[in-house]
Amino acid sequence: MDEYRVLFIDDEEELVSALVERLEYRGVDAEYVLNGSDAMKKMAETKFDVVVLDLKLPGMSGAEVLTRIRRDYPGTPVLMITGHGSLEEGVEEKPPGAYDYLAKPIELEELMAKMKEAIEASNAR
Amino acid sequence: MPDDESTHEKALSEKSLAFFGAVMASVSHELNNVIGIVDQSAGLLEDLLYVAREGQPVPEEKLKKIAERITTQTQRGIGLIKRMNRFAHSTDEPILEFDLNETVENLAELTRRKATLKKAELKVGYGDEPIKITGSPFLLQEVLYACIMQTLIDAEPGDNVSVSVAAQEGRAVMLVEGRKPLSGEVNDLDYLGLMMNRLDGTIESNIEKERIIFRITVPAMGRR
Repeated sequence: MDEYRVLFIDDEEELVSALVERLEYRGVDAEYVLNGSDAMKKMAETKFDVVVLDLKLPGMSGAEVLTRIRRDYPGTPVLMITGHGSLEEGVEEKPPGAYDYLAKPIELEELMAKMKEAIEASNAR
Repeated sequence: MPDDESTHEKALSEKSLAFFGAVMASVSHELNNVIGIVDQSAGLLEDLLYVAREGQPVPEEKLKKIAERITTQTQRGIGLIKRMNRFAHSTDEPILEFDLNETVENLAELTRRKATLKKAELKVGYGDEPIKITGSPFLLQEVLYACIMQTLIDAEPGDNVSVSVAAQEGRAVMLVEGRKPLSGEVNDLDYLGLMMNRLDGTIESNIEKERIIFRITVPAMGRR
């Protein structure tokens, strides 16, 4: 898998814009939106290989966005980002349906590995 | 509400602990974002350094923007830590003399993200003069937080939640106003009343059309 397209959904624009730029330097086609309703519009226009979704979003919550993606784009894997320092502590805040869950702060190499893994698992189905 | 006094105490302690935990969880979430932005910005600088070494030009404006972002986020983090520290120290003594305006403003800033997640705006208003109170600032913040949260239960995008503080004839009056819960009911008003008793204060709630207004009063020590 050489190239893939990822959509980030996170309201911390300064965080997500830096992440997107760093991914672009690594050959990843990355875009971002700041809320769930923009995400649904963007996904209706463009096919993404993987979505990275923050749990805490203004307006439509991350869990609601996840439910909609699962319903409308069942083949698109979703990586969910939680704000917890460790995933064990955040276990109660893991809505079902995501491919996997990552804790903030995000490690870029780990994120890239997870994105590839999610896409490969989705393609293998 | 339970009848037995020790059961009351236990229930109040549990509620206080839950309140403390909720504020800390919210602040740690924000701090995580701050650290994440600084981390990714530093990573981006490394990427740009690599690009420059490869002989590609790196616009000065881009470097300046990243440096500014790191500075802004560092200041945001410092502000959050100061507020969190002030909040944590509000539990130091059961009775303290404190400035109500400062305490309310601090709590509102720590709570702002909860409103933002509902796409609502939290507005705080108070006068220039400090309003000195003797009592537990932690307990008062707990009551205020509970009121603010109730206005956010069914808040809609664009809603305003207002918190105002004023001194009136030897008392301090705080009003918390926002959208009423769809259930039309106020949660835990009995417990909030018990907390206010400990502050020699009162709490009332009124629902008018779509709005809920909490009126909280405590004795004030007069202007200083």
